Amino acid sequence: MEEQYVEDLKKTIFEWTSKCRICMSCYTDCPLQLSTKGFLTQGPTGITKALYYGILWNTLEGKDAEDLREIVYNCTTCGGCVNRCKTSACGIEVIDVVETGRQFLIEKMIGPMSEQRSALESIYKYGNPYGEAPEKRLDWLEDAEVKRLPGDKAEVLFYVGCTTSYEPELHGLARSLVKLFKFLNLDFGVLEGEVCCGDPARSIGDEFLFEEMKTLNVEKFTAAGVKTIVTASPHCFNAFNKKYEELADKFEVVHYTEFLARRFEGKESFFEKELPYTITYHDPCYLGKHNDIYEAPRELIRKIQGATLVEMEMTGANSLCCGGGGGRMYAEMKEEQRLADMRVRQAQAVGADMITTACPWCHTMIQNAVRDLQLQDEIQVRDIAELLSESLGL
Amino acid sequence: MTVLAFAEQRNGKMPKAAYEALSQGRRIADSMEDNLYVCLVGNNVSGLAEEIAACGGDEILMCDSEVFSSYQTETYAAVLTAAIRELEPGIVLMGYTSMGKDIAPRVAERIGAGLISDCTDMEVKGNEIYFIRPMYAGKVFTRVRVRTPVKICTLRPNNFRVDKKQGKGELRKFTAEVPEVRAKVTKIKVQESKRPELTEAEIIVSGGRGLGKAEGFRIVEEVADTLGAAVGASRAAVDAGWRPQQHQVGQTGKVVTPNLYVACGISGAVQHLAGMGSSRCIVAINKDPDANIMKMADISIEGDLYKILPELENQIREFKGRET
Amino acid sequence: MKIVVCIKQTFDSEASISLNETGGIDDQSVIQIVNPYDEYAVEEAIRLKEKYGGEVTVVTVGKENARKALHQCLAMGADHTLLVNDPQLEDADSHTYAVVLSTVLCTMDYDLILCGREAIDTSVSQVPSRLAERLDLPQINMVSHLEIVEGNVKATRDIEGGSEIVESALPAVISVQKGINEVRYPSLRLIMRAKKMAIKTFSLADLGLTMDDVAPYLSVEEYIFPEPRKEGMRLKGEVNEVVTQLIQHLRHEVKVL
Repeated sequence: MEEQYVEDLKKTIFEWTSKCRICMSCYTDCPLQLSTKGFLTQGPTGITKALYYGILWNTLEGKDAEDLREIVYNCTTCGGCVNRCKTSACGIEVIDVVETGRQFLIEKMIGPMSEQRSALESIYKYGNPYGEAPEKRLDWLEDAEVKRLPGDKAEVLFYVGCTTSYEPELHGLARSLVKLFKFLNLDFGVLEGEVCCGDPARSIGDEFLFEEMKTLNVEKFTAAGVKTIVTASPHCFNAFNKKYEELADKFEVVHYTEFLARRFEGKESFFEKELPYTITYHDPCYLGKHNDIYEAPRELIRKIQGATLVEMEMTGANSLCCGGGGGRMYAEMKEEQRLADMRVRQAQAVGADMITTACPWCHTMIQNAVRDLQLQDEIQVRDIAELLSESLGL
Repeated sequence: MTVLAFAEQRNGKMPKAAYEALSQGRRIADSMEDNLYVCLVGNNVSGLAEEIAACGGDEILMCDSEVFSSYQTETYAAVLTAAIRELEPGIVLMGYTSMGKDIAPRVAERIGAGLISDCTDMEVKGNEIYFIRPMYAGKVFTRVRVRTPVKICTLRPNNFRVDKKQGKGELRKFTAEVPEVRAKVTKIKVQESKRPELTEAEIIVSGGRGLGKAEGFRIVEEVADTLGAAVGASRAAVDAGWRPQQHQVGQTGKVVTPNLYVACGISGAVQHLAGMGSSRCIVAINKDPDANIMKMADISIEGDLYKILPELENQIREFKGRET
Repeated sequence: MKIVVCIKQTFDSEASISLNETGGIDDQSVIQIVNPYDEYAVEEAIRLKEKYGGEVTVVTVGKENARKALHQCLAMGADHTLLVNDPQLEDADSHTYAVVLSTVLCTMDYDLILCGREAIDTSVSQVPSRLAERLDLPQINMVSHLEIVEGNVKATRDIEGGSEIVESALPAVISVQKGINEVRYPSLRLIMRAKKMAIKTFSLADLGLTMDDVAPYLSVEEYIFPEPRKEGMRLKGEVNEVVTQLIQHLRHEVKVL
């Protein structure tokens, strides 16, 4: 007799997956379906059906289990199929199915993928998925004047996030945001002892680890006594806004693009320094598809003097996923399946010499793709915040 | 104090670690003004006597029989135990190799001896020997004393000098009663490679995640081959399936001490430094100037691997060509 | 199949090492984990159990804190756990561990004993072989592949430049190496659940051992912290010039080429 917890997971998966009528509309919106021509996931329907029959027939051992893990963990949880299913079919929350499926596979010790294991262990041990020392988390911060909460007090908390804190390539983003906040005369600070928001744990399927991180964060935010939390990453933003019920009435959580778009409204004239680039903007899935934020980042880019904004073939709600979401960031993707490579080619096709984005994971994935394709001399990858700060001459 | 060295061999060939054990044994014997005894086990291995003598072997106890044609823990341990019981040496030396790691603790427990594994240095003071060995992946070293009358020590490869110093080289047939083998080596698979063994190599060229893909190792191999070097890999590269586990350098791989270690696209995580941190000269090539490895390398080059490595290969070829 | 796995709790590989006031290694403010090689051993044991039935018992010698390591093994699927904890084991060396473990194992019924190839703290690779000797069992070290063939064990053991296939009757002591398997991930929920499971605990007296029985063979005289490597020469610029400089330096200054 299996435990109630596992039984409940199965029941949830069954309820959702049995609704699918295999209309296959979702296939048109699955990026992996696109990049692998269906060999990898057989599309969202393939994922839900694989889970359904895997559980129904109890084929959860050996090669079957490995195949199921492959199918369920390859999904980047971009959300394209969810929107499609809502508008054209029976409205299955495919990402919830995938995430519950992963919880189930973790309970069965079939998941996660081997490379994701160390990320989870590291979140548990150090509070970040990268095996980095907690005391080095604020090493990027050169500015000694910036307030450190909860010792200092401030109105706005800049929640930096793990990737931005530890990945040297993203320190430019973190430092630019600090400069922009200072430019705006904001009463803000960073958190001493910041820990992971838990989103990777949840998306890989360790729900309890996510809950643990949630408890820690809620404690820290409460102690910091702030009103607003501004995140660098859309993933932290999404987790705080949608998965932290405890935060709902206490704090306003905003992604930095929306926050800055609001604060810089009507201040176009400040952006004096010309940046003569042909810029294309890559919509991060957790900003766009998951939270309908498409305009704020574009508004910010348009403020930059001399820059031309061009749109790629797949853009906005139809944007192509970079391949880093859903815990895929920690797993290697076979070369022929690299979505970020496709994305870079799309940017090239519209003549962009710069790809901007507003997500540390998208940034890393796309930057790596540019490097792999040896296009460093032709295409730059920058975060919107970096451009703004440069254009303001900060 | 009598000194005994175990002359490890496979198919009549001694690895570098065996020569190192002989040479270190000779040095200790000299300071103790005693003989260096050597235990040699194998089949048709008398040909090695000359080389052993040239490294300082005085008396070679040779156990030569078909029974010993391949290494079996139980038979080899029986011979070594018998040799120790007969000679009652103060110290027994061998390499910290797959064979040394396997046989030394077995014999040590049998005769009730303390064993220093993976020793990197020794201090002889009068009749006492202090052994230096790393712990916690080289973050700290310990100076250790062995309390038992017989001290056994396995030496980290590439850490003890090989000297040519002629010993008496007296060959003595030695026999020991051997038990029936329970864990039997039934097959030996050798991976054909023209490159040197990682732990013995003078030069190692290693690749990591920064190479971006498995095919990236081709250029690492090409550079290695022009240098006559071994090819290593970081854990990230092994975990990504780009290289076999046997090539991993680091805490969960091999510990190496080459004269030159070239790290290509390796960030220098603690776990990697544990495996190569005591290399004599470290060269790091990395796109990220802030990477850990760049801060501890003797020479670091910031830049694109795919531009630097081909150029490196070209220039090495050029000067090697000039020399020959 | 009854399998016993001997594990050790070790410092996390990222831990920084310092000394405490009594001159020993400070273990207070350090994250401790199941020795990674031992995790492979536990995983292999559970896989064998899943295939052939039986039970897995995990044994460790350690302090109170080592319970955490045992919880993880239970969460992974081990059936029983056993901790030997005694203040007199403070100076334990691998001989000591072998004495204690062999005494525990003498009271048990087993077909196979699995260990990791070494613990990442002291890295001596001695306990499995010393234990095998004390129990008069065959040993196979550094195993990267394991199968059971007609009641015997067939193992691939890594050696320099290749591997050996070793076959042995059971019981035997086998130490495993990275590459043998991929260790499963026990979720936090399973670890919490494991915390409620029983861990048998023994002192030396419970095992009928005295201080003399476990007296270590080695004595650590001093801890020496190596000088950190200093940042060396930085080269940057035109690729061909940089490479020329590098080669010049390696040839004439370092003299390694």
